[in-house]
Amino acid sequence: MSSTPDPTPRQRDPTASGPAIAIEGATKRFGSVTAVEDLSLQVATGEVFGLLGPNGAGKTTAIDLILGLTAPTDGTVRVFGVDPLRRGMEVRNHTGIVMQQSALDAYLTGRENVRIYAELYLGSNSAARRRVDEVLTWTGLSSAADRLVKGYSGGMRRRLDLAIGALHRPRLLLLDEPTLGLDVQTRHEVWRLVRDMAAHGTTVLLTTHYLEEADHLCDRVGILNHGHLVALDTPAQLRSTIVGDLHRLTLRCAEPCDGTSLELPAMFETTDNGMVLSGAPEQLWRSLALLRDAYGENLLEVTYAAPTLDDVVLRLTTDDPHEAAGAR
Amino acid sequence: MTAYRRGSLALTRRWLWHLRREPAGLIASLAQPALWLLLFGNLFAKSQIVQGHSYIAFMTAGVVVMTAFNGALNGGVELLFDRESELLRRLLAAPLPPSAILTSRLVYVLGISTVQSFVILLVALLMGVRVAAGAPGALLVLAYGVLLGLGVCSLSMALAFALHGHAQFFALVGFLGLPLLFASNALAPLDAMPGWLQFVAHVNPMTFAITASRSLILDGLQPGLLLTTLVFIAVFDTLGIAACLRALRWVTT
Repeated sequence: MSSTPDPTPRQRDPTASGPAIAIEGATKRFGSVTAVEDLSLQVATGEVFGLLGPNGAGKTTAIDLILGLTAPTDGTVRVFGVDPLRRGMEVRNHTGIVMQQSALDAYLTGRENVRIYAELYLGSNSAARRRVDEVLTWTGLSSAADRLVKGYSGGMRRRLDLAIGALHRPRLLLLDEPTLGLDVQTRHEVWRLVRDMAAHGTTVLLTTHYLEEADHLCDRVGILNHGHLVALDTPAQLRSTIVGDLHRLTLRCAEPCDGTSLELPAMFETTDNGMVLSGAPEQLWRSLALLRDAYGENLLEVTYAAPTLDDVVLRLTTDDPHEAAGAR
Repeated sequence: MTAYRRGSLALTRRWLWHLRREPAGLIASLAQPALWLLLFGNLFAKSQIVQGHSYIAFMTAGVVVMTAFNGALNGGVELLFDRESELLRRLLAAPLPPSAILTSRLVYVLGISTVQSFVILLVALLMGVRVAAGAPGALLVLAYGVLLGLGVCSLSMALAFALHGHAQFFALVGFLGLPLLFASNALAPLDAMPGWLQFVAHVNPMTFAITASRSLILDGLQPGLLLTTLVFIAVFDTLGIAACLRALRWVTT
């Protein structure tokens, strides 16, 4: 049995040259609440794209727009060139989804859950039944497949969600907070499965709170805040352009040390046993040189930390810039 | 096979899998209406409320229709649970016309209530009640149950989509169930009721199905009554289905 979602090579799609997802100026209002405002983004075919942002930023609404589950108040959405509102069945036929909340029937077995979706996506032929076994094996659920989902752990449920999402070898996989609340092992297992699908050519759009997840998986990320797209780039590029001044050095000193009189080029904060400096790399180097001259062997330890995607999101989505700067 | 048929079949199978897991529930749901017949039939056996027929013969139609009505009234709640667990949203994200979800529920709920009605007619037969209109009459009694259930279950699903949660659903259904039964001619003839209750009973769709079923059991086929009953139930079903589709659209956009 294959350990990949798709043992046979995928047929290249004739329309694969266009973007998988093209959203143009999409706005979605629910009454007086604006969930998404003037959102424009393109996800290339084969790309793994991350949508980041705090709760209520509009991530799930964006997924609903892509699936045609909700109509945009304004703007357009195309999935492989198709309007999901007009030709929803077509879009849903080649889109897999793992929703934020595990949407399984707890009173059916794992296999029965997958079989229902197999019938919806693939029909009830022998190839469909084989595919059910394949995805159960792929997600490591074969031995638990005939147990009721009621007794599954959170991690098992999530893997079953992924098995269902991958069932029909979708061209596009949507993952809404796929690892929320999972333990580290399961999170890594989910990442492996998602990477596996991406390696087989599936376009992936995932929303997440875990920036480490976006760093691990995504080619590009978009950051949503209050329904607006506030940044869009590769994780590395976002780190250098948005928070290039948030490199940090943590100093531990034998005796109290203070930078006030040294006119350090980096920002600093005194701690119980030393200080924390933050700034661009060359500011930190110059500051460190000044501190070494002033304190010499009194400096016991220096630890360096690069800016993270967390810093990017905090800087872009926290309304109070002071809070954002000191949030780490 | 079309996506609609495929979806309806797959989801009906889901309800049947649930049923298989709950054999006790299945047995109870078959035994309970027969128990109604035994209890009420014997309780009111000496009552003078019905003239010319045994009380059991009189109330058989009431128990059949009541069973179909109650089954259908609660029929939508599973979709409310699916809505609460997000499973409904997951299904809507699959290549599945939303109407297939409704169809699967209708097929299952009405199928179960037909089996229940059949069991009631069998128990009644054992207690000496013969359907005056014969086997075709018995089939028509089952059909009335299905047709009434179609409208009631549609309304129940409309509530499942429109209400906030299952607590509200059960409160409303619990509030409506028994009063609607007593405000119908299930247990007593209309002319034994006070005037105001007669008025309510006259517009209660249960009464229409019961009157028509009862005449088949007690007197035989009356084409005029068959026609007016079918027209009335068709109007009721149309309204119920329209309400259900409207509520579903509200959930999906």
